Amino acid sequence: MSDQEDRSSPVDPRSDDERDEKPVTKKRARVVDPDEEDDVDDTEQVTKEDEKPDNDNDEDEDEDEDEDEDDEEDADEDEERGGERRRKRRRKQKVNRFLDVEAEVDDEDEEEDEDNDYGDVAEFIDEAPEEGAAQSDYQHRRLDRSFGRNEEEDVQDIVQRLKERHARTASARYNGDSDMVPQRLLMPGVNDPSLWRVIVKTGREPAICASIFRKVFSQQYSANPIEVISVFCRDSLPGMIFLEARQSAAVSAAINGIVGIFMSKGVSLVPIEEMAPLLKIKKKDVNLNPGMWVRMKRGKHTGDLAQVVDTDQITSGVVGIKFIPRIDLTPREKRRERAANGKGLGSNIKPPARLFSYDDVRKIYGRQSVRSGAQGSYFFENDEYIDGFCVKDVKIAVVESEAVNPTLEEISRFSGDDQSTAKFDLSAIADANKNLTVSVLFPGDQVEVYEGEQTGLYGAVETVTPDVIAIKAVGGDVHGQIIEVPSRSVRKRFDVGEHVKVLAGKNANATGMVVEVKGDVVTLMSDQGEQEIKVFSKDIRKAADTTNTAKQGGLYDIHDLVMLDSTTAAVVTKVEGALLRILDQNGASKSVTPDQVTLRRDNKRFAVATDSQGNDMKVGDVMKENEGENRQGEVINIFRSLFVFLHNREYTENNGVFVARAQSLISATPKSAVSDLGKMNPALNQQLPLGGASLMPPPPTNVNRNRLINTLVVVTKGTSKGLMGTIRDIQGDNARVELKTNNKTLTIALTSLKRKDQKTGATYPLEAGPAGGFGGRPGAGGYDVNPYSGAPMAGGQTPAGFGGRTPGARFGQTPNPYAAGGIGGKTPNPYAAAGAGGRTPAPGWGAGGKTPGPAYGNAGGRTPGWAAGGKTPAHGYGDGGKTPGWGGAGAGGGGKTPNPYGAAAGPSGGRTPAPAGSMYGVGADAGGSRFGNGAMTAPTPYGGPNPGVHSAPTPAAPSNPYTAPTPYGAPTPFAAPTPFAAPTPGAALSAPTPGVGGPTPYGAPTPFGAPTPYGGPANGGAPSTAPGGIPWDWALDFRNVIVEVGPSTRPGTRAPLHFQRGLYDGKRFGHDAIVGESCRCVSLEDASIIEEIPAEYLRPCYPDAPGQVVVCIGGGPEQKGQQRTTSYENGGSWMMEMEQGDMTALVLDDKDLCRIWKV
Amino acid sequence: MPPKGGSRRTELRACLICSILQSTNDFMTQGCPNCEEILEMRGSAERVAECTSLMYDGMIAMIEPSESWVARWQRIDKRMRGIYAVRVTGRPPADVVEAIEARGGVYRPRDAVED
Repeated sequence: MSDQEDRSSPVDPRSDDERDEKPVTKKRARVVDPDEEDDVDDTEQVTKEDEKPDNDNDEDEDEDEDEDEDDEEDADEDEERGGERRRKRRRKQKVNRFLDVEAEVDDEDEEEDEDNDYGDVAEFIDEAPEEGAAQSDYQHRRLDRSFGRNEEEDVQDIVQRLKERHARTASARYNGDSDMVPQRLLMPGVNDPSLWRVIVKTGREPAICASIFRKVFSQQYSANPIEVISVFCRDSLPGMIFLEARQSAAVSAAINGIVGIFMSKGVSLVPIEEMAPLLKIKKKDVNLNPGMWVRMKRGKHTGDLAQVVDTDQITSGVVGIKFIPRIDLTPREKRRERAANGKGLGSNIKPPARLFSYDDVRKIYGRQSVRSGAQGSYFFENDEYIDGFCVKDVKIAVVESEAVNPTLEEISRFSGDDQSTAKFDLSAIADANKNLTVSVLFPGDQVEVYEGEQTGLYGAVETVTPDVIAIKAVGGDVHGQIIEVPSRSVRKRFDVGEHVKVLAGKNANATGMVVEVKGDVVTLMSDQGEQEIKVFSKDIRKAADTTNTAKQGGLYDIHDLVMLDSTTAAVVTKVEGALLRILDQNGASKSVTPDQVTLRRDNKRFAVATDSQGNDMKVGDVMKENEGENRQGEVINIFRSLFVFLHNREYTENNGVFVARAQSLISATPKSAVSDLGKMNPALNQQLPLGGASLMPPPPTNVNRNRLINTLVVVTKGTSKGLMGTIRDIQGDNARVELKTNNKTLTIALTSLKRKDQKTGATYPLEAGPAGGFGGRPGAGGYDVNPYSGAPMAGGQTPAGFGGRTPGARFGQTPNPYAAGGIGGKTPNPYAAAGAGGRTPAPGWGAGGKTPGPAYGNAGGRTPGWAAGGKTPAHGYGDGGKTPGWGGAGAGGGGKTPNPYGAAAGPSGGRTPAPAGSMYGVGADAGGSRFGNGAMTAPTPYGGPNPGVHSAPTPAAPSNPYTAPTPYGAPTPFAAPTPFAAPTPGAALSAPTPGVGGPTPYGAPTPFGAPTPYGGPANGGAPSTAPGGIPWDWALDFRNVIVEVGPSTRPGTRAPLHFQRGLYDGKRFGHDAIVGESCRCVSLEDASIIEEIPAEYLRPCYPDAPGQVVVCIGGGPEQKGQQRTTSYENGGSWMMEMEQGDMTALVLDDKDLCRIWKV
Repeated sequence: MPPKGGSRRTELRACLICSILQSTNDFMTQGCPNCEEILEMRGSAERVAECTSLMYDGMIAMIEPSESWVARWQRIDKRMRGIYAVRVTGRPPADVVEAIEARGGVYRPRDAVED
């Protein structure tokens, strides 16, 4: 059979009919029936013989041929080819004729063979007699037999046989070898022709294929046939065609001269592995099935949903659909009116879609316009209407079958019930979802098979492919097995009670609980609006929890503070679509719509409230309730400093938000607690005897450590050593330091930090200021005639921090009620202001008329005057508080009268102490009077030293007070200083030469003046504490003490480290007198050695045995300057012998003590 | 067989069995050159509409079916030369499929993807 095909296709271009009737080539020998063959041959021979006379006449072609020709002549382009064909055929005809003749002979030959092959039985029977017979006889007999057989068979038989043969031929076409072979075995091999890709003009691919076909065809019998095997194009591969050929030359020849081929783009060989995919490509087929939903693409129904009702003519490109018509039911008059207004009938007004109603239409269009059809259908304007729907055959091209996404509303209209969404044509909806199912399925989804063999099967999706999904069955016989089902017969399954989220549609992102499942429609109770929502199961997913569906960028965000009315505030705990869930200040939770509330655009950052301990709290602080449930949370909002809204995500109620009263909260994290106000109350301390002062310890050093924040520091230890940074926060003993170099914030121990002066670059100890300032530290300032003694140092070091603090501390320690003022507002003391104003002392004190004497205020104001100085102290005193007096003092200090104060102060100092002391001792009344007293009694000594100090040029001056008065008469300074301290600042502050004051511990003014004056760079080398808290220049404060020579303790000094290269190191000297910044010292070993040794080289000589007379050079102001006798040593501390007025034994650190030289 | 088509492809219909492309008129007058035995479309417009389709994809101009891999892949290597579609959408009437199977053949839809 295949032989036959082969023969016919390449060589014989004739049609089947033609071929069948035409004589056959000799190869036909294999045809089954020789008789039949003969028959045919005979017939044909006759025909041929008939033909012979009019050999050249074409008209003897058969009918089909003629028709073919007619057809061909129709088309111009075909003409040439037609002619060609005709010629060819003619030529062939001759050949055939010739062959026919031959064939006759051949056939006879073959008959012999066939006979041998065939009539087996007959010949077997005949053979026996034949054996004896002659060969020629056999021939004759055989002829007879065949003739006889021919006669036997009637025409019917022949026809039947013919038919059978053709039938076999036909069926063979579908039974060929390759038909049974799976396509994967048909993959191209190396022996197959190659494919060549040619780029052509887009849209012309089929035409070009056909052109090439014709071209190849026309040249196949020419001298140079084009050996192209096939040409094809794909709709999905626009702009290219593929030629199958064995050689590229054939391709070039084939495409040469064809219009629309881009020769320049070249011809490329398709790799063998890409050949099959070229033909495999599947056009996205429009799979229209009855019941499917489509959308109209054209006409006035554009966008309308339609349902496929009929696909019988799908191969003709026509599909029957039904849809809701849009018939213009405008009354005729109105339409006329409209037309008159220029709005034509064909205006673009789209009539509303509504079901066809016979009565309505008849009313408008007239009875004759509507024709009744069979089964209650109507014909109106050539369209058929059944049950109100328009049923129409439309071209497939005018409907859109992809991404139809019918909504429930649309579908419900088709189901005939406009109003209720409860009634659904479930199958219709299922159909609607068919195309969409796969895209919304994900592995893990619970699904249910609702059609096909596996109907009712439940399972979880394992894998998803476009058409088939594998599900792991749950329950039933196949439990646990993985079963493949068509994806379109599967729908998501949800159980009542499940919590789901809507993925698509107008309710997208809503969450809710499934309350009903009906086929594909799931009803859920929304978490948000608490209403029922009906959704397709394909549009929902199981949701783990209630998602916050807040749309970012909305007006209200979670945790926003809103106002319900002018007095009621609430916090948004949840945003649910259009609803806000809020918690109001009374703890009530409710849902409101955004228009029921107003947003309170507070700046959260500034909202503060005071907690139960009086500490303030801000948004972001973690607070704890100290009553009730003891809930803890982060402050998210504060309303009127009363209601605090907190959030803790561990609480489920109200999404973790709760409200509490500020007064019932305490900080959950230890905070830099402001110490008990009571402790700061000077009145309490006043009543204590002298020693009682110590009952009020200096405020913890971490008080207000925040002041360090934003301080420029340098790291002195650790890995970051040497790096500069800014303190951003203080956490206990650590600071968060934001490094300048890389913007990193590190936690570094405070002890590893040093303050850095921004301008000079000089570094200072971070806490040195306070240490000195507070003076409460052992070994620090120590007891001094002037409680402010410590201040200068501090002042010098931390100018900024100091102003407020130092005095505060100082005042806090001293019984002076005004001291509190220094604390800067923490006490109710009216002087607070003054204290704060301490930085601008003049007004402060001036205003504080309560200060001992307005004179001081004046003094402050006038202080500048004292620069002129020169006035004698007497005058100053006489003036009773006129600062000028001080000024004079200063001046005096300045050196004009080397020791004016020495005299003046000395005596007064000597005198004052007693009364003052007693005053304190009895805890006499309030400050006012004490001040008065102080002022009266004490001014002198202080006036003296302070200015002196300030004007410090001649160190002699400051030293004077010491030399002159009762040197260490403890009480004196004690009593006196305080009152003076107060005034002084004024002067100091306004003092034009503040820097100078630095070195002297007497800088009573300093604490006040401190901030500015000492901050100055001039102070770069400002005093610092020596090891043990003793300032390096301590020696300048004392005389008649035993000192030891050692390395310089002055920070940043330019002097050599050792005095006279260490000649006297370790040697002890008696401190005789102060010369500038040096001390005249007499060697204890050799009285002839008298050296002026700079104070920086001098260290105190600590007591080493009981019974030694010592002076307290460090420690608190209450001790400093006291002269005592050592009694008992214990671990570096000395207990002093009791003295009159002592309440308890005084124990001092030995580092704070210095032996007195000449007792 | 004269090559057909190419002018306006909308006029062409594809045989649902062998996917050959011809004009409706050709199908009417000559039937399918390959499958007429089974389809018997000649002279019947209705039968032509049933057994051929307007919806097809791609076009193959098959010149030497016996040599062609394309033809083998498309299972038209034993068919006439001519113009074929790569894919044809539609299903022939049931009797056609039965007829093919009765002759021991296999009906392979022309719009399906084999593997």
